[in-house]
Amino acid sequence: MNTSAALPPLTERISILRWLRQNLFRSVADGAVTVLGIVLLLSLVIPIVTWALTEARWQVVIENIRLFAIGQYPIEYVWRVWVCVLLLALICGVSWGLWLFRQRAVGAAILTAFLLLGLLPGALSIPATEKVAGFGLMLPSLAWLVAMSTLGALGYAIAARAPARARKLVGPAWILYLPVCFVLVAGLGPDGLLATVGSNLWGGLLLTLLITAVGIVASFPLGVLLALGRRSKLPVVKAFCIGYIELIRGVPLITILFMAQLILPLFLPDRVTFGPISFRPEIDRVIRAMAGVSLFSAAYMAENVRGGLQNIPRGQFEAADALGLTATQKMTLIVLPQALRMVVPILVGQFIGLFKDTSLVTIVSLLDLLGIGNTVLAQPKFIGTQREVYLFVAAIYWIFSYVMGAISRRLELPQSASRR
Amino acid sequence: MKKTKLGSVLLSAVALALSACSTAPVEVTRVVEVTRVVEKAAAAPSAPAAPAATAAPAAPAAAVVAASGATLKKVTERGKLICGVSGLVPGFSFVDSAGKYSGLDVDVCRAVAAAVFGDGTKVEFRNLTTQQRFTALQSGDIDVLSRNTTWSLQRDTELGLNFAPVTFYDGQGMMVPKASGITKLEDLKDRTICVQKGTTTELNLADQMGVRKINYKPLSVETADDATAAYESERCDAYTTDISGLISRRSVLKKPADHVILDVVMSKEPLGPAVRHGDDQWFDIVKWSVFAMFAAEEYGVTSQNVEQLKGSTKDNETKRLLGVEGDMGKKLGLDNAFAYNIVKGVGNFGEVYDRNLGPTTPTAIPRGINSLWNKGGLMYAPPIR
Repeated sequence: MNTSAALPPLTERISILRWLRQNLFRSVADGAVTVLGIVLLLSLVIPIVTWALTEARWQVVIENIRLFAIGQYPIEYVWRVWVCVLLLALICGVSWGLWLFRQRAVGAAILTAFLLLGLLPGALSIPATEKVAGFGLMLPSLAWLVAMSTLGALGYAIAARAPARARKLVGPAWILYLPVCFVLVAGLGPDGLLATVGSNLWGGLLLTLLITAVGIVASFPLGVLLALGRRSKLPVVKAFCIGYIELIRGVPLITILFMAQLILPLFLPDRVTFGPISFRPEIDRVIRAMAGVSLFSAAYMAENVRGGLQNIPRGQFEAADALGLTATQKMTLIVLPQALRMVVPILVGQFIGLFKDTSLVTIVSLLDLLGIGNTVLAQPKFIGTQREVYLFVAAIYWIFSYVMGAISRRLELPQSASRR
Repeated sequence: MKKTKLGSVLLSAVALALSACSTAPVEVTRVVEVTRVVEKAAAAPSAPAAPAATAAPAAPAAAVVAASGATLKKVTERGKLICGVSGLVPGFSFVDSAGKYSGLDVDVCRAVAAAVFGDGTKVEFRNLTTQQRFTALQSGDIDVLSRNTTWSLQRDTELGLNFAPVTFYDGQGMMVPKASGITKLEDLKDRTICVQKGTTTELNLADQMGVRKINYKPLSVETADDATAAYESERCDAYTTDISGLISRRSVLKKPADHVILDVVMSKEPLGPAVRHGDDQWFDIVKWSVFAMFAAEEYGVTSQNVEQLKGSTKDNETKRLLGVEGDMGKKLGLDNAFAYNIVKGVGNFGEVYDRNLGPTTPTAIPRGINSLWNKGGLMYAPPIR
């Protein structure tokens, strides 16, 4: 890919004809392959497009868009989810202004994701009826889009005006974001604005993103610790880490989720009593799934991080020792920053994998994006709309995975060791 | 069966890990004890040939969850019923566009919730696959399984299930184009029949045709959708699956009226809610919740007139059903108005059937043998007295 990234001489770039000849019709054989390829491509694409535009019953997606977005989340509390999205827009704006303001591609990627998120609230604010006007769908979406871009721009402006202050804010903001969001979605008390919404009502894209986010945030530190533990000289720590990593890596994610959902209740006692306190230990199912995904991902994370650790030259350790740094300082200041930078592409690859793996929670009866898709297919009105539903679900997965990939590619550039 | 073996191996592994980690000695014993019980229950189905094993397993599975009365206590304490459904079967259980569960199986769950809490909405649904449904019930993850589950001897014994009354009598059927003139299985000689690969339907088709000595060409396809597509594109002359499935599939064909479902039932598929062994009180509650719906239909009590009937009825049966007379609910450990609450909140069986599978729905299935006993069907409630 490096060769194609390097720009060719100017003369070769300006003529389309020349480009065509160079790349597609260099010889007779090339020309034949090109023509054949185009014919094949068209014979595939034309029926698909024709189907998508004429035959496909997209009504199934339009009518169920709320289910796809948030599952059975109560409509009166939907605003809490949107506060989360708006907060994200603000923090993204600040971060963008601080770190990535020269990266147009990242901006475009983030914008795409927000565009998609922006289309959803519009659909949510209208009740699911049979007649859904296209315009009615667009208007609230636009309002949300405006709100989000305003906040994003505001964040950008803050970052541009006062980089130092913004820099102080943005770190804690990111750390606080997920817990705040979680509280917003889950609720606090029995009544009021922040009334509890049971996790059995979370669903669709909301649940998928929540499990992914928690999975990433929880598995990353755990993975780093396990990687360090595996290289530790303390035999017990080392044995435990190796045992954990190898055990988890030897078991499919489905098995772990299955155990967490169906087998765990068998081991919990019926009732736990500590003096006056007595309760029935029932761990929330979504939490169980999140724990399963995080614990699973951490084992793989550990191996990836270990790859980075092993690539740190010995000299770095020795230099740190020579400077008189303590073991903790050596790790946090010298070794880990370099090791983690080296494995950014692998880690993001793993995060994308984790994002897609969350679809496995359907088999433990959580209605994530794919699970909702499956149950929508059972609506009597929409029997036989598999293609539409699965295409839609796949498109959403693709957009999010692509955005993650695009951001990571940009992250790699300034951080790669060679550019430092 | 491999799964259950794997399960038991994993169980013991986890038990080891847990008992090793746990610091409280009391808990350790508990963990070990439970594990032993579960292992037996899980391992039993994997060795159906051994006579000793088949006799034992039911009891241990029940012992996990307990003695009579425990489930009701657990459910009332939790404040809601947890009900396992499929979530993927049109007309039986699915999530509608507004995010609400609907279907016949779902309404059965609501009826149980109405009986227990007087409120049919106090129920949480879990989508379960065919593989996980029994484990979910045995482990206590759900209280009732109402998921198109066929009542069979093996499930009633080895798997430790107790089946409440059947709420839908299904059976394998055969759909053909009207124009083909096929009216009975014998007419399918040397014709092609679409059937889903690896299902009991496929095996049963072979059995049935073998008994009748009819030669046919099976066209095995992967999913129900593929089967429908193959049938519609006339790659086969007939399509066989459960009658309920045939009917919902027929409704999405281009011209549903051009296809008929033959008047043959090739297998018995009694579908009903199930609970785990060992808690007779809870079994009674589920059983009589369903019976109450049958009885209400029989006595002409509907969600519309139940309020008025409760005050005015002279019929002793209806009085006992609605809790005006006799302590019927008390005997179940419930409120005397449990049946009143079911009918009020969910409806009688006829209403439930019509709402989900009635002629006005896209999944219309003629009542047939699912009518009340006095209308030529099999739905029959014992006397409430």
